[in-house]
Amino acid sequence: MTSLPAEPVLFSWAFEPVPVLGLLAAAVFYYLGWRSLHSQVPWRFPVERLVSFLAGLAVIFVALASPLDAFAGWLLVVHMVQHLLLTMVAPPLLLLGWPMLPLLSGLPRGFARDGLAPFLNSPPLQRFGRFLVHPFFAGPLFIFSNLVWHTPALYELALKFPGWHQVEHACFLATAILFWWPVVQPWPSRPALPRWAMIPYLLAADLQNTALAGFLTFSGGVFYQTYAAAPRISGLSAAEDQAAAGAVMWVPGSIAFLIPAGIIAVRYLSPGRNRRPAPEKLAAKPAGRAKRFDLLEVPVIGPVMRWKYFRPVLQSAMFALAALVVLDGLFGPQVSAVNLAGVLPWLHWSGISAIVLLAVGNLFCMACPFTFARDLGRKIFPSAREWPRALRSKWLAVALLAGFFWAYEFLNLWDSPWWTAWIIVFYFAGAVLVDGIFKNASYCKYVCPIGQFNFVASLASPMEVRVREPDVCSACRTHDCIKGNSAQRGCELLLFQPQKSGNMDCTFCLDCVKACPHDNVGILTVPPGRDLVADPRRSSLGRFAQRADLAALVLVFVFAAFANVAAMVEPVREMEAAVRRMAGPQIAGVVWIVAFVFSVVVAPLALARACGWLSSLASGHKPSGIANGFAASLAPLGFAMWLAHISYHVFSGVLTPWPILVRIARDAGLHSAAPDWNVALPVFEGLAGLQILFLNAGLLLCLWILWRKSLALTRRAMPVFLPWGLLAVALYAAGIWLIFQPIDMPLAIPQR
Amino acid sequence: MRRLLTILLLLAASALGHADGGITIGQIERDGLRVTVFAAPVPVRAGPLDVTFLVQEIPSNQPVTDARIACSARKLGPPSPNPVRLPAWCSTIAPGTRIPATAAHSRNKLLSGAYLPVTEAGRWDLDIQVARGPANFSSVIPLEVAAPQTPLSTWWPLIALVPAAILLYVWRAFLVAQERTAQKPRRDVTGP
Repeated sequence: MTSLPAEPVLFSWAFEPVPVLGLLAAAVFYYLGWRSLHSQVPWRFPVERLVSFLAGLAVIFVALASPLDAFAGWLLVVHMVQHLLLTMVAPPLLLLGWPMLPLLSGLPRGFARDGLAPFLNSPPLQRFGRFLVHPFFAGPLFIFSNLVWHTPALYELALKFPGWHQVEHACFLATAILFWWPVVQPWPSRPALPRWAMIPYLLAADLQNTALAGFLTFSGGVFYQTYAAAPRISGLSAAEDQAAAGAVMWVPGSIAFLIPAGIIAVRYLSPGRNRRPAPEKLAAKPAGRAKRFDLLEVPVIGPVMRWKYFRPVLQSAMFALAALVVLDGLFGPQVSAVNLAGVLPWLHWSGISAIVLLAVGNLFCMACPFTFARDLGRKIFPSAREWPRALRSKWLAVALLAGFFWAYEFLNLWDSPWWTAWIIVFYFAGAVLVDGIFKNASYCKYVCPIGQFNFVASLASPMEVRVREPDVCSACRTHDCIKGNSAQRGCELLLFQPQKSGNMDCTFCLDCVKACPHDNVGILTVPPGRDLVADPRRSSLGRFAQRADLAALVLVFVFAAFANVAAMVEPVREMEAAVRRMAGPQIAGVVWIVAFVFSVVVAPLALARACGWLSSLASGHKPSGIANGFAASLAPLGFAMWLAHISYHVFSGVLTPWPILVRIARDAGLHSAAPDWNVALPVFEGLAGLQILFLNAGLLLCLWILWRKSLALTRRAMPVFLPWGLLAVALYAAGIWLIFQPIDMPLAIPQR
Repeated sequence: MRRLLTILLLLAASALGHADGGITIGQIERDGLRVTVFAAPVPVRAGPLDVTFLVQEIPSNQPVTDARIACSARKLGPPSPNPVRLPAWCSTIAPGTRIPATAAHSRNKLLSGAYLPVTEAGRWDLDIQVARGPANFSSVIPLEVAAPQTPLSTWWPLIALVPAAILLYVWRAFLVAQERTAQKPRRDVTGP
């Protein structure tokens, strides 16, 4: 008798990001909605509903991610258990959570109101929904799905191809949810048939289940060739395995049908079946005013972020890390893959920044080590002058950002620890010098290319530092958030909270939070991109439509995202090599500089101008105003491309610092073990899928903003929208093509 | 309609993941061990080849997890002048590199596996080296590799989400307009 080793079997779990995140999102949305409903109508949504729904999600997770799925291809009995969980256990549990209202209430309010409500209110769709869960449709559909998927041809198809296996599971789960709907009848849906009709309904399903199970158990032959050919890892032969699967389907399967049939029969026959809750219990509590999620009100996180020394601690940690990177860059081995300066700034720092920008907002500027050095420097330097009026725009920053991208590509910064270290040193010197001479955070606002990058990227972030209650601000006379007070400086970026909108120029320093005497500033959720649609007059920035410099900044950010990836993919590398062969290295260098300037500066500005002009023909507005305002709407697409690109580096290089740290410790004489450069490469087959999803989200958000802006200009919005929409789609197509190309990236794996 | 929404949300939540898949491409029995070799995708195509190994003792069928396996893929015949471009995540592994198969690669921890770069269609040999205690042997499994799928044919369902979302938005706009038109006469009747 074979005994399976327990440890490898029990550890055969899969944590695929899509199902895990999907189930987590469902749990979060349900919980948020349930919490609100529980406070209003606790007898309708008691804790049991929450527990039931979460248990249903947990059962799905176990079915799809546990060893059950890992061994389903070898043992039919295991596969049968998996299917029973998906069809008999998870659906009733989910439906017992009465998921309709909690899920709807838990979704973001704007999405539910503007995105879903038109569908929910449509009478034809309401009729279609009722038809789907009608017992006369749902019952036969469930039986049909069960029978069809157990035919050898389709079962084999699912076993051979993972895609078809997913379709099979989706069919099982979907038809089972429909089947169990009239049995559980989740509130507030109404039954299509009398309650007693559910008894024959369940018995009919059990009859089919019994017939199929009996066939599997007693037929003798092996139906599915995959199991006949599978390696025998248990003591069961293929025929015994099939018989066991039939028994599992028969006994627990029948129990799953008969128990609810019995409960319904007992309830139907019991005299108190029409009992209703006492009237006083029915008085619902009034719904409180919906509050936005505020990061600063989250237990533990909020108090920690508001702590006086939170930012200095964060900055000093980053400062120490930057010092280590500089030292290794200057004195360590000049091979980027084995030097902290070749890995941390270009892979990990950019990766973490991008993930945080996506999930929260501009937290890198919050932890900025350069402003930490600046604050130390201010103890020596007076910083008494005003920033020159002529430079109070983003033009200098646009030039520096483009210059930074150019240096990255053409000086191969990522491949030179020495240059990387010097750039960090220059950065520190620049921050101390500029802010040592000029007042406020002039360096952050007008100079820092990394800051500008983060400002533009955070235009699509879901959180923003903003006032909680506008009424409180209208009664405020001290304006400490911008002026500061004796205990706390105000906003050095000159953003006056009541008139601040969006994340542009906000470093998340939280000075305004600490300065506000009314505790009226938080880090609140905002619908991503809504700020770009409205384009209100912003404190210290004005309207985007009037700021050509801001438009140029966004355009450089967007087009550089695509140019940056293009410079790394093999077809473009081959083209570069061909030009070098034909024209020689010097002329090739000039050609590539021209190509860079064209693709990152000239082409974007010219395209924006052309689109603005075309849109102005249809709307009658000034071309420059349209070009400036609409160009800012491309920011989400640019951020999506950066995210897609950076995610590749994150996944390919996430473990690389470890052997480098071992090497540094050995160089410092702390231990003698040699670093093992064969770090595991977290290969991720679905990475291209993740990158496409990022681009999809960026494009859709961008198109939505452009469309809403066009509608705001004129009722005939299509001609206004079209040039910009086509530009966005063209960029998206370029992004997809780039994702599919192999990347020539020596940093990906350290020396082997 | 809320029913439909709930079902769609629950289905989206349980969007399914990949399992260790593939077909059996060969079995080796030597030195008291049986090695079953699986490969994905099905059919085997040029590109990253996912190979996994199950090692069992003969005759007990007892799975073995402490065997050391290394593998590499070798093209038979002259190499093509235009090899397949491997996706970014796999392009850093040089073709022909001998790669140790690890349990970390596979979800099913009785298996060990690795990704091998197979850069063109045609006949290949899969070289396998197995070592466990005194048993130490090599073997070759022939592979018939089909032409690769284009990335577009692999990922089109995700790309199709964009037009699908746009269609949904257009449908929504249509429903909103319909609702407005349906409400207009009622307003006229009630009047100021």
